[in-house]
Amino acid sequence: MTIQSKSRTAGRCFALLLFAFALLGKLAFAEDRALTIHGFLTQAYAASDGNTIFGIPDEGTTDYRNAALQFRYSATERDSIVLQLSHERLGDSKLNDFQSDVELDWAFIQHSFNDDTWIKVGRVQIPIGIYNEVRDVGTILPFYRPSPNVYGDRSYTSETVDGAVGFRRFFRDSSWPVEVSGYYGGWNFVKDNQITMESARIQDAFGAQIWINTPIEGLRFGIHRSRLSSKDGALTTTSDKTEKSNVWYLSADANFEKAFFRTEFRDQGFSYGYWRGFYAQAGYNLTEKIAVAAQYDLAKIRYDQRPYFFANEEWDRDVALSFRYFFAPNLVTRFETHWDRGKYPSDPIAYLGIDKPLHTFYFILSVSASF
Amino acid sequence: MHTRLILTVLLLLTVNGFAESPTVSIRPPVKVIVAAGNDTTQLSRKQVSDIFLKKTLRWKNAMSIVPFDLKYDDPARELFSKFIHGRSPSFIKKYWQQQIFSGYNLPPLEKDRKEIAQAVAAEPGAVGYVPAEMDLPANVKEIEVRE
Repeated sequence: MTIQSKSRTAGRCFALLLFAFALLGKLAFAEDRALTIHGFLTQAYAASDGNTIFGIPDEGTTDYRNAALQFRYSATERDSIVLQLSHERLGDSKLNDFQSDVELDWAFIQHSFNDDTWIKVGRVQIPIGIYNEVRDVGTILPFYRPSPNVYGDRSYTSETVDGAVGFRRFFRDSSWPVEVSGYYGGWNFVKDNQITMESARIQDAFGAQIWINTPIEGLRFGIHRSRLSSKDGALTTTSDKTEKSNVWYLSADANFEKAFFRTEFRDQGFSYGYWRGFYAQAGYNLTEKIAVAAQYDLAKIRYDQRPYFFANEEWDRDVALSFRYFFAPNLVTRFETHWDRGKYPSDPIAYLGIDKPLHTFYFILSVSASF
Repeated sequence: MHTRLILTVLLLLTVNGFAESPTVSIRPPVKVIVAAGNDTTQLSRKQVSDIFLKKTLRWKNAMSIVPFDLKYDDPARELFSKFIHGRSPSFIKKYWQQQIFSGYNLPPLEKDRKEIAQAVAAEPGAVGYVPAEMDLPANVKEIEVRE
């Protein structure tokens, strides 16, 4: 048995174990719920019409899933310890080489000072935009993954920070409550030069997310700002210097009973250029069980570190449609189609010959469950 | 002209935004209940919603709030959810999935309608709800819900 097939077997075992837990139903141990267990699983079949994109090959793959198991121990009413293990497969993507079968997704200690203030210390989800903290939770996402152009696809971005996150709610009783989160720490990520991929680390990052709620329930606006520092060229094509990067996110989120509309913009500046991503998505619940959604996703890059790398172009443009059927709020099947024009193919060898954007059609059929 | 219109809309939104909420007593389609010894006699609809979404964790006297929900398929839960949160139970369920998997909080414990009054009576800080037609035991009391 090869290492890769062992890896897949272990991953499938984890997913099956998780599914068994889900079938068992409620796992909240004991009525006092000192220890609770929750989890989610999304299993997909995906295929493209030719180019391999986000690990999806033209012959199709079922090696496409994510799953997590979460343990929460409430030591006191104000203090909790939370740990989440995850498993993810991305088809033929080289990103698979950078993650083990079962990973520590996050683990933190949370202390609440009062109803409106808390702090988490450890490996904690970074509060960025609408989706960063729930990137993989298939039962609540309109598409398999949030916009890759805004949230990244495991490369250059991170769901978690090794450090601390604080939260404070202001003006709770007004019609305009404001929620502010701040974080500090570092994280590992995959540096993808399109030709090679390697592990790198953000050493020193801090940022804040502000959400302004409105008198229209379900409508809110967000802004995120962070500053990242890295050594050894983690954010550059070469490995010769310390680099700083400034990141902005702007978000508008309208989430109502029958419909939603969301749009976000990301601007990440480097000393050699910038990355700008944007998406808009809208969805409508035709019935309580059937929902449809559409998404327009765009990225532009300007990066000038000649002779190593130069780009000044539209990097990606993707139009997607999804159809979801909810057997229950926590059990959903989803079919989505994407028409992509860009430079995302995840086979670096193929990329070497690309000077024009590739046109790729792909679809993902998935089932998601959570408990 | 456009500037005036925008300013007027902003002004209206602001006035609406910071206006005092009216305190008109309303008749909810369910009975919101607490333990008989709980000092609380009334809550606004928004306060009840915040309690069941765990945005408010303590009573005014600093005692911890322990909310109990009815089972997902109980018809009274739909009445409660639409009246208190203005959302369906499935919408609230998705809210809790987001809360759980972003590591924030856990949903209230669920009880069936026969158990819930007993559970509320047994916990000094508990709050729950029962169908409007249900008779209450002596060790719990209904609280008034105001607009």
